[in-house]
Amino acid sequence: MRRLTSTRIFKVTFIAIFFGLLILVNPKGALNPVRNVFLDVLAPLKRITYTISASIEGVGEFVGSVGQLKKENEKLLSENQGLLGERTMLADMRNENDDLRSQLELLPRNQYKLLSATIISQDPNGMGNWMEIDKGSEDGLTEGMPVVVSKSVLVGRIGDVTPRSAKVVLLTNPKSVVSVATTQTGAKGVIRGEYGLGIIFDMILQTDSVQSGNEVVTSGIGSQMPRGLFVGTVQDVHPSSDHLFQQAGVISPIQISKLQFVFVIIGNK
Amino acid sequence: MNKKIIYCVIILFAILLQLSFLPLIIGASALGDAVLMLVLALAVIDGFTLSLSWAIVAGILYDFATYTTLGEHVIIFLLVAYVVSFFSRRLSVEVKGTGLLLLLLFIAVTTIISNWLLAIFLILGDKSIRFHMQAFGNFRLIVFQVCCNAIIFFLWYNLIGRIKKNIL
Repeated sequence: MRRLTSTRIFKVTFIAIFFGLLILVNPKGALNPVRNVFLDVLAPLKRITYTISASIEGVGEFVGSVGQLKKENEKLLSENQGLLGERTMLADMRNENDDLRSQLELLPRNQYKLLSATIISQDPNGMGNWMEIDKGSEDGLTEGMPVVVSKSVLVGRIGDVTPRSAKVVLLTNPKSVVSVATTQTGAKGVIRGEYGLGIIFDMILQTDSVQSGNEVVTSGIGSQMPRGLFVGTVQDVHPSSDHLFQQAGVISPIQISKLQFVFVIIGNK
Repeated sequence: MNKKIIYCVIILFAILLQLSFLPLIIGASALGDAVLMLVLALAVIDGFTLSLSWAIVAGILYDFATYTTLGEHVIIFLLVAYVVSFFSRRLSVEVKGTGLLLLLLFIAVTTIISNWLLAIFLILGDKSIRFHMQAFGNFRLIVFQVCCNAIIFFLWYNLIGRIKKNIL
């Protein structure tokens, strides 16, 4: 018996069974205090490492893109001229919108209390499922709070929270489901992630019209997600596998791996 | 004692590298695995008995750091340590000649084993197989991961070799 227990295969099998059972039972809550202490110790080191790697990555990208700068500059100049015209038109529409909102006594939009946070780590499996930020429950974060960049582009929502750090479940995570609508046609549905392969706009009624290029924003139905946060642009539309609904691929304007800072919407002003 | 502290620091360094450095430098879509390659290097250098406890420690800390269920990476690293030690006892493993080819084979096999086990854990968690085959079964992605892992492995192998020679 002693000979058997000292063999390698016995040791490996025993430990594998023990941890296999641990996975099945999944006592996540019981081990959270230990995990939190470890994450708290690691958080400052992660922040330093992330900042260093972001600077290295930034220098590399700049060197690689010098040749493209002239072309991009010309393109941006022409886009800028177009946007100037659009801006004037939008200012007029905003005034009109404000008038109508005050008449209907609706709350102002985009008036969120934002908490800035630094990204300190990302999904190590390259799946784009989550990232970690340096703010936690001590800063008032709770599970489900929306996470944005540029004040209104949705990135994901807060998942697990420790006292000094939090996991952000990204839109590309299949566990992330958000109610959305298109701004042009008002077609409603939900978006969900596909493991870093993209975002799918699903459950669109066959009678609703969705086209490539349509902008997708949050519809504000359910949960803590406010209305009007930009999600992305529709790329292609196709019927769902059961042909009951339509589905569309959505392209987000942000590249998660390049981000350094995000904002958490912690409430309304 | 000295060895234990140094190995703990190296494991923490590998976790930091994997979570906060490689995703930005290599890119999110195809990463190498610094912690997996560290366990592989320890198994090749120290053998099964010595590397077993470090594989478990690395797995537990990595599970904590990545918010995954405790045990997932422990099982992966445990299998890697066992498989590598099983073959390295029977075959000559060194960084030259056919030994080098064997090391490259180890890297490729451990990368694939790790990918598949992670996919299985995700399938068990999500009750869906749809996306995992696309994400983990992509041949070009696996080749890229193996190349990244080979570079990371030889960096670890050299670093640990130097530490053992000069400090321990």
